[in-house]
Amino acid sequence: MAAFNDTSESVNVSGSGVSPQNPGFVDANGYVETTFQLSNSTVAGNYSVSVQDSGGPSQNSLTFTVIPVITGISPPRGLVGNAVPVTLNGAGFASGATVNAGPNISVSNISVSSSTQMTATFTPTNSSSAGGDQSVRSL
Amino acid sequence: MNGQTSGSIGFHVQIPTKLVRIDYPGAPGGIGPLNVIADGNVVSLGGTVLLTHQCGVYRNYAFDIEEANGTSINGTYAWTESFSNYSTTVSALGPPAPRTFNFSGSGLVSDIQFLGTTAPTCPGSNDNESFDMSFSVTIGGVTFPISTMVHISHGYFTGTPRVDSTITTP
Repeated sequence: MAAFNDTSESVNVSGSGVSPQNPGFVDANGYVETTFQLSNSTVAGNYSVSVQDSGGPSQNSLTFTVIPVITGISPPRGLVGNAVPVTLNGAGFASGATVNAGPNISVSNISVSSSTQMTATFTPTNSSSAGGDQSVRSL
Repeated sequence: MNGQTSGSIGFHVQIPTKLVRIDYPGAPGGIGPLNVIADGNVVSLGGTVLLTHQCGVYRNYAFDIEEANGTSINGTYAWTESFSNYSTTVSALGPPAPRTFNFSGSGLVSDIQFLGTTAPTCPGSNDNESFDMSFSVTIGGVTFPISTMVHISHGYFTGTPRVDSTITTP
């Protein structure tokens, strides 16, 4: 962004859920520093960040990216060939989020209850090759 | 969503692999007491009367179906027992046919080994049989072999009632 005129700046973030500490301050290198507070309702995605000072708004914007995180899964295991209802806990789950559990698990009935919880049905492929630890990600 | 991917978390897919003895009320270490009855009931670990007015000997066993890492399986499955290497001193007896049971829930299975006759008739002093039991789990038409084998020897051996079991997992 262009040079800043003031020692403190107004930082704006598009959308909701990402709250900048206001005002940000300009450090010795001329960068605006602020802290973004993410609430429990913050969802994953790209947020446009702009700055405004006494000289007016910045002419461009930058992107701040929030990624989802999975902190827990219940139950953590299931029997091969069995459909297992699972609950994923975490943060940043957006409406319409999907779940990828790798090639050995079919995922269905995905439902985002909130930005911190979603449910799905895991059905492992009915084969010995499907056994073991599988990686689950939210998309 | 929005092109962002979370870090991963693990989900473990269980493959039924082996059978182990497990503590159960009435069967510490998975092995119940030797029951010798002259005109009595044959009762399962769960308290169900399976046979009445029997003369003979029996013992209950409790097992857990587990995956390779020792975790009990949990789900819906069919459990099949098959028999081999059968031998007996009683001409009227023969190898048991394979048996299949449907389960939903944990991997806990019980087994009861009985040799006897309807009272007042009782087995002879040297009536016994022995065999090997092998197992498999079937889920959705796919069979998963269980590596564990159980050898059973039960009945009367020169007048002594016995029910012996040896469990072997490679």
